[in-house]
Amino acid sequence: MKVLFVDDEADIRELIEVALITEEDIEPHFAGSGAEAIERIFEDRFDIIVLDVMMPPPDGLEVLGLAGEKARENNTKIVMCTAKTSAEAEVEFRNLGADFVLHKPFKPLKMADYLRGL
Amino acid sequence: MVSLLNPGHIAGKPTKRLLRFFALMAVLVSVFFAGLFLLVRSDYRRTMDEAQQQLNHIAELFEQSVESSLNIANLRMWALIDRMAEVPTLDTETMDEVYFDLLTGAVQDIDQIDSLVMIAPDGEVFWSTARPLIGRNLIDRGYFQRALTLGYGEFAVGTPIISRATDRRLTPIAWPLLRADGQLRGVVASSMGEDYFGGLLTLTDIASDMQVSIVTEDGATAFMAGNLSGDFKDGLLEASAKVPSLGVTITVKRAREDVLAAFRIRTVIFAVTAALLFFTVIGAAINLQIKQIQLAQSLARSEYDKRRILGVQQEFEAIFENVADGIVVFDADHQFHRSNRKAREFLNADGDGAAVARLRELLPPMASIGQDVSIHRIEVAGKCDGEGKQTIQCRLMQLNLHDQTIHYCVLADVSAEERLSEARAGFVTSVNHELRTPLTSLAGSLEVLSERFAADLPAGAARLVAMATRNADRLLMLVNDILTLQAIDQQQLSVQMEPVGVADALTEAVAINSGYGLGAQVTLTCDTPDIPDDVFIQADRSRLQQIFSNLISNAVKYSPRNGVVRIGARVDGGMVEFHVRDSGPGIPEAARDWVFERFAKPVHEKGTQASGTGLGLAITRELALRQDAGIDFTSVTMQDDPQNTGTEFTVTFKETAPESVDDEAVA
Repeated sequence: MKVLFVDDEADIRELIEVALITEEDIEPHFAGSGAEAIERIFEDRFDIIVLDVMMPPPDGLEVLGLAGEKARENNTKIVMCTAKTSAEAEVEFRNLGADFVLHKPFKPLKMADYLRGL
Repeated sequence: MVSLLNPGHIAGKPTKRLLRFFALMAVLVSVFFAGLFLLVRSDYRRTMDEAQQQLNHIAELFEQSVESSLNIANLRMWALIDRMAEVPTLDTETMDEVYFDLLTGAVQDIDQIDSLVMIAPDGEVFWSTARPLIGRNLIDRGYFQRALTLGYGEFAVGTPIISRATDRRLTPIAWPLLRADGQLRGVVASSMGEDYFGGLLTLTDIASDMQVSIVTEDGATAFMAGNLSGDFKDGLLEASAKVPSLGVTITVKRAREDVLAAFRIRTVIFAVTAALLFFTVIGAAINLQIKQIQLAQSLARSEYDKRRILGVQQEFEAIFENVADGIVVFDADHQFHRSNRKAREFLNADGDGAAVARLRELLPPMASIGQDVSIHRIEVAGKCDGEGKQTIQCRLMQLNLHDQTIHYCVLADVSAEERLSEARAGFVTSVNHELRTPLTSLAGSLEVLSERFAADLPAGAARLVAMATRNADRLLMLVNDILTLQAIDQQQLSVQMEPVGVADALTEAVAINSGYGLGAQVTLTCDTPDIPDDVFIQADRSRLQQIFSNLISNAVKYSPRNGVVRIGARVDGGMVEFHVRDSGPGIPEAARDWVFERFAKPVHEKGTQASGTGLGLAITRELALRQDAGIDFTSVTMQDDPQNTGTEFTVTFKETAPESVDDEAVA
C-alpha cells in the first residue's frame, strides 16, 4: 500500500523509513512540509496519509482543509498524528475529516501493523 | 483619615454651665431657708407678744369685774348697815324676830356675799346666818380689828381661810356698823367664796389652758381657777393686775408650750407647703436645665456626626474615584448614573452620563440579563492607538434599592490576564510538541536499534541501548505526567463522565497492563472475576484506565520477582471499591501524609525505592477527585508482619443505575 508520511521533522521521517524498510507490502512516501504534502496529494494517490498536526504553516489542519476533499475522492484514509492527547482535540480532528488519530510518541516498529489494521 | 473635633470637647461647655447652674440653685436654697427662718422667728415673736397681751388683757378685765362687783356689793351693804345701825337693841332675839327676813333676804339679794355675821364691838357674835357662830368671840380676827377702825363707806378684807364645813376657800370681808352720828355699834362680816370669783370670771373670756389666781397681800391664795397643762418646762407666760380696793393681786398664767402648740402646727404646715412649692419649682428648673444641656449635647453630637458623615463621604468619594477597578452605577430609567475615573478612562467618556451610555452600548440589553450577578467581557479601544484593544471584564450586579433596580458594574482590565493565559497555553503546547517530537525520534530509534539490530551490536552495547531506552521511556513519562498535572491545574483536563461497566473496566485494565509486568516476571490477575456485568459507575473510561495503569505500574515495580499483583472490585451499599494489591515492602504509616504529594520525598530507602517521576500518585489522586472518586490505601510493612507485607490501594466510586446506560448508549 502507498502511504504518505507528512512531518516536518526529518528524524521522524527517517526513523519511519528505517522501521518500514523490512515491510515489503508498504511503500512509504514522505513530505517535509504542508505545502509539499498538498502538492503530492494532488499529483498522486495514496492509500493512507499520516499527517502531523503541528507543522510550520500550512500545518496539518490546513492541509486537511485544503486537500482533504481530494484525498476522499481517492478513497484515502487520513491519520492525524498529534502529541495532543485530549479527547476534545480528537473530536475536532474527526469533525474536520480525519479518519483516525495517532498519538505521539508512537512505536515505529508497530507502525506497520497499525497501518495494516486500518 | 477623618480628623475632627472630639464630641467630648463640645460637651465640656455644658458641664461648666451646669456647675454655674447648681451654684445658683444652692444660693436659692440658702435664701429660701434663711427667709423661712426669719419668717418663723417673727411669727414666733408675734405669737408670744399676742399671748402676753391677751394675758394682760384678761388680768385687767378680771380686775375691773372684781372691782366693780365689789363696789356694787359695798354700796348695797352700806344701805343695809345704814338701816341696821339705827336698830336700838342689837341682840340675837331682836335680829331673829324683827330683822331675820331682811338679813337673810340681803344674803340672797347681794350676789357677792354668801353669809352674814354680826359681831358686837367686844367681839361676840350676836347673829349669824351660820347659826353655830352665834355666841363665839371673834375679837382676834384681823378683819374684825381692821373693820373697827374704818370710816363710813369702807370695808376690810381678811386673809382667806379654808372653811371647815365646806372645805372651800373663803375670803372674809367686814364693814363697821356705824351709826349716822359716828357711833360704832359693831362689825358686819361676810365672806366671798370661790364661786363668786368664778362667777365673775365666766364674764371674762379665758382659754381653758390658762390659770387665774387671786392672791392677797400676805401671799395667801383667795381664788384659783383653771389648770395649767402638765408640760410647762419651756416656762410660763404671766400677767398680773392689782385690785387696790380689795388689796389682792390677780395673776393670769399660761404655759408657753400651749401658746406655741398652735404656732408649731402653723409653722410646720407653712414650712412644708413652702418647701414643697419651692422644691417643685427648683426641681422643674433643674429638669429644664438638664433637658437643655442634653439638647445642647445632642445638637453638638449631631453636628459632629454630620461632619464625620461628611468626612466619611469624602473618603468614600476619594476611594470610589481612585480605586483601581472601574465602577459604574446606573438605574434602568436613565435617572441616576455614577462612574469613577478608571471607568471613564476604560470607556473613553468625559462624564458619568457618557460613560453609562457607552457601557450600555457594549453590554447586552439589560432586560436580557436576568441573573443578579453576571459577568461580561467587552472590548474597548486601548489607551493609545498603538496599543490595540483592551479586554474589560464587567461584573454586573443588580440591586434593588427603594423599589428601583440599580445596576452596579465593576470593570477590570483583564487584557494582561488574557495574554498571560494565552502565553501559558502556548507554553504547554510548545513543551508538548518540542519535547515529544525529539523523544519520539529518540525512543523510536532506540527501539528499532534494539529490536532489529541487537545481533549486530558489540558486547556491552546492548546493555547501554537498554539503559538509553529505559531512560527515554522515563523522560517521556515525566513529560506526560507534567503535562497532565498542568492540564489539571488549569482546569483543562477533560473528563467525560459516562456509565462504565465495572467488570469491563477490570478486564480492560488486566489486558492493557499485563505486558507491563512480564519483564519483571510479575503476574497481573483479577481476583474478583464474578462481578456481574450490570454493575456500573459514573466515570471517564480512559481516565479510569489511567488510574489503573498508574497504580498497577507502582504495584509491579515494588512486587518481588515472580510476585502477583491483584486487582478487583467490591460492590457494597451503592459504592464500588476498586483495589490494586501487591506483596511489596508496604508503605510506612508515617508516609501517609505525603505519599500523594507531587515530587514527594522517597518512601523507601535507596535499595527499595523504585525509580519514577514522583508524580504518579499525585496525578492518580487528582484523576480520582475529578471523577468524584475517593482514593486511599492500607499497607503492611516489615515491621508490622514480615511474612505478609504488601500495599492495597483502593479507589471508590458511586454505583450508578444501569438504566441510564441504555439512554446514554442510544444517545
